Amino acid sequence: MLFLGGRREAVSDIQIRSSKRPEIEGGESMNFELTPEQELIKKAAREFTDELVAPRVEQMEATHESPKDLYKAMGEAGFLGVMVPEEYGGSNLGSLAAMLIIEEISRVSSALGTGLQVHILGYVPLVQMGSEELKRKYLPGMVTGDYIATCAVTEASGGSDPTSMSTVAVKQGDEWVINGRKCFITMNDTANACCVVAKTKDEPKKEFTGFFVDKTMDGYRTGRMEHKIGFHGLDNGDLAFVNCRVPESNIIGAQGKGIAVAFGGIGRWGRLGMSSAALGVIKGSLDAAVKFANERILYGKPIAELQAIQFKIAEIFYLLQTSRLVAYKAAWLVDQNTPDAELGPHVACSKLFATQSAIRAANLAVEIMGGYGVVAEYSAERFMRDANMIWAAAGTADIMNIIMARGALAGKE
Amino acid sequence: MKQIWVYVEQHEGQLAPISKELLLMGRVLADRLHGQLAALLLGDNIAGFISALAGLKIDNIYMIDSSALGFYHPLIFTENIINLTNQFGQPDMILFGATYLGRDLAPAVAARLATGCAADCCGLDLDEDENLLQIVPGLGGTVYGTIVTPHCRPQVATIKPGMLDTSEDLTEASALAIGAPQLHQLEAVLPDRVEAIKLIEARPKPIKEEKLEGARRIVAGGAGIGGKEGWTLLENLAEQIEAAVGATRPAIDEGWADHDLMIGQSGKTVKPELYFGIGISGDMMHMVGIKGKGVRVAINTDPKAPIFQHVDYGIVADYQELVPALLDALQKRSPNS
Amino acid sequence: MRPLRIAVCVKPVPDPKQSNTLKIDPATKTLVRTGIPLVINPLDKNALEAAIKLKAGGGTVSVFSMAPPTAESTLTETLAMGADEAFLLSDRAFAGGDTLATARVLVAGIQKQDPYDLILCGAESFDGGTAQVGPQIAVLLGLPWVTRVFQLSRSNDEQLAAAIEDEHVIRELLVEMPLVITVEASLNQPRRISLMGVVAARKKTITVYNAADLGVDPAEVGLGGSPTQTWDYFSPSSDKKVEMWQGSSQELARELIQKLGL
Repeated sequence: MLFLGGRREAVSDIQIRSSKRPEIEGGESMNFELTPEQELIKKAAREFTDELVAPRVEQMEATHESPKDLYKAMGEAGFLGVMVPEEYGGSNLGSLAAMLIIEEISRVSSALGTGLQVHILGYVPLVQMGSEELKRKYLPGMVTGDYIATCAVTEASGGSDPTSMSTVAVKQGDEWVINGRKCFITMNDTANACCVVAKTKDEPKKEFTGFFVDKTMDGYRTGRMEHKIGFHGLDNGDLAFVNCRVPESNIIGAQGKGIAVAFGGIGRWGRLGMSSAALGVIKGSLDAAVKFANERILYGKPIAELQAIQFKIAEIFYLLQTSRLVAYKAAWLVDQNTPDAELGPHVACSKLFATQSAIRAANLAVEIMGGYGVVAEYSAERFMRDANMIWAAAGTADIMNIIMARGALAGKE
Repeated sequence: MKQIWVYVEQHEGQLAPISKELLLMGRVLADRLHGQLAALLLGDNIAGFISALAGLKIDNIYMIDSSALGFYHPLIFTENIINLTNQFGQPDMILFGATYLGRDLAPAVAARLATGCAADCCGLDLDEDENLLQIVPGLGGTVYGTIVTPHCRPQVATIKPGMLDTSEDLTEASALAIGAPQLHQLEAVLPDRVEAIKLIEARPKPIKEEKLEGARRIVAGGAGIGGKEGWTLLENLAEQIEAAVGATRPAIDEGWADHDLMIGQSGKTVKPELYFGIGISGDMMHMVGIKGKGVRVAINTDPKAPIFQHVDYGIVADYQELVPALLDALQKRSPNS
Repeated sequence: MRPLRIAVCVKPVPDPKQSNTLKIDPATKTLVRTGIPLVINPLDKNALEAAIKLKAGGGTVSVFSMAPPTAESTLTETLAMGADEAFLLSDRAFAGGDTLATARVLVAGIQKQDPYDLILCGAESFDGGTAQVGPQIAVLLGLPWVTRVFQLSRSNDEQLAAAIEDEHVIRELLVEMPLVITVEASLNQPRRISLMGVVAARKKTITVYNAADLGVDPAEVGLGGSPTQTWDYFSPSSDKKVEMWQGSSQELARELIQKLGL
């Protein structure tokens, strides 16, 4: 034998096991697969995240600074304009596509994923209810990232009680003057445009109106910044409106439609967006836990062989599966233009379940990693902090419960 | 009588090491097949090079010495090899080194002759029907494959440098005494569209100091190193025990090591006295580059890693704990001679 | 400069990032290949990127792939990257083909279209790694070729400037179209897919050709048409009997120093 020495044992009949699924006879079945186009969108987001976002996370955690160039990059990749209609330069691919993108980004940085979700939330009211003039003025810039948007509803009076807000808008000529202070607004500094809801009448009945404002308008400015436990690299804080003058033409929908404007956006997108961020956190936690379990040696073997660890990993796995099902279904319902009454409980369900699952999954990852789970070098503690940020955004779990209960009591399932 | 042709490469008057290996191997094959060995020499101003082949037992040298062959022009070189087969008959096999030129020219020649070409062989053998067995790493590097060209001739193959066992025993194996090789010289032929490829400028590459190939000790790292800091640990260990640093493809893809540190099928062949494989799974693509009877040690967190089947000593451990302990112990011991 | 018609040959391969999980099941001696997704061969992406760049300003980029029907998603990705059309050459008869049999199929697909000025391929595929298909396509088409180009640009209407590197020399060449070029990873950085590309891909076509459509001789393609055959796979069992060591890091360190004479 002229080479290599040693015996030669033929591996005969190499069988390559096929993964082709058998066809089911007769009739169509429910389809749980993403379409090839959706797979491609997911892939585009995954590659973007792995190449451009992953290297920046450490810096975002250290400096808490918003990576403004990544928003531009998301514009070039087409992610910012995912829900903008094609006539304004967007790709109009719908909620499920947006959800897949945010999930992929959030797997590595839920701060950036949430930034993308809030930007969409900021412009979606224009898409849903804005005039042609407003759409043409702002939407193209939303696609490129020249405009970054946010949504300003919450005040010190409580996000769960929006009609108690004290921000007012008073008509003067053909302008409205807005005065008030919004708080806990994501991207208060990064965003240069926002959809703001103000009270336009007190008597005989309270009336609220949605306005679209941008930072060229006097009197709309960034207020104090919050120091949060998570979502580092994503600003959060106050927006101050001090005699902010807004043209009448910047009213979204019509005067008096403020609550519908706000909850059109939050109920038909914002909650889904936060669910996607939660899905990303669960997936990121699973990846981190699996990698650690395969590498960490105790008692002479990887801890992945210990049942206690396996059970925790199993739990993260099932949280991921169930959260995805509920969230994707809710997005699908939105894309099917399901009316609010039917849609609301499912969206609420996805937000509640995905958020609580994210908190639990991140905690499990921390547990699996032991001492390494609570040190900054490893990602588990970041997932834990970020998961807890999702809870209050776009409606607390308590509000989600109320929506679901009302739906169930009205006979919805 | 079966003809075994070896395409010979030379650079600045020096015989390429792979060509020498192939001529030695070619002699053994020719003897086994009761055939003849021929060397193919194509180039410009190469007549003087023939003396470099002295001492190698070659039956025939087919030489084409022409300014048309001044640099590797795929169309011209292919046409001239085909012309050799027309003039001297199709051989049983043509062996090329798996060099830039060989990997370009061999498949083109094979396509012209509608025959098979096996790329990057790491071993050669013959079966009972005198077919050439062309051994290549296969299926993602977990196994070897045997490629055969059963019905077509010539059998064409490119062979990786450093893979064939060309110890002195092989040259001894040829007991046949033959005289000096017969020289056959041909004019170059020119195909159509020669002007489609023009050389504008040729710049010699700086000669890189070869640290890995002759190293007595090697510390090699793979995917399991996990990061740049871990790689530094590896480098410290190598320095402490006077070893060269090697790498597998994953470590290079991750950017921890330069491409020229790669050991294996797509990299260098080494023959160290001591080899440490750290965080390396041990697939064939890498292991095939480690030759010789030196001592091999593997450190890996995965007890099922294939590398443990190819080493003398195996340790299931996290290198990030073991290597610092080893460095510590090395520092503390009294220096021995 | 005149617009160019460029063909790019693309092969779907198991994802390199997940391929260290390719294993032989020691009990049944079968290759376990399920679940590893197929991606565009990395070097073919470099080829496609080069084509899209060179065609800028009119022209057409056509992608060709000999692959099973499941490769449609991989071809859609090439359309989303910026190719104008794709051709999937798919037939059971093509299965098991070696590089020459594969080159024959690709050539048949290419010859069915209007002539191309340039044909680009990745230098080698991740799974086969032979680097043979490029030169063989050129020979079958009767075209000149250059392999492993790492710099490429348009010089004028008919010529390209290309740079290659071998073991000793870096060469700068001036090459004349039509010809075949295979490319290295260092040639360029393939672009990421944008959503705009995904939407644009909806309007582009993937045409599927089978053996009859291509008019290939069945004796020339697939396993039966391959001059080379794989006769067996084997694991070289080494004669090494591994000695496994246990202990604390300190104990092992001492053992290593002592046993190996460090």
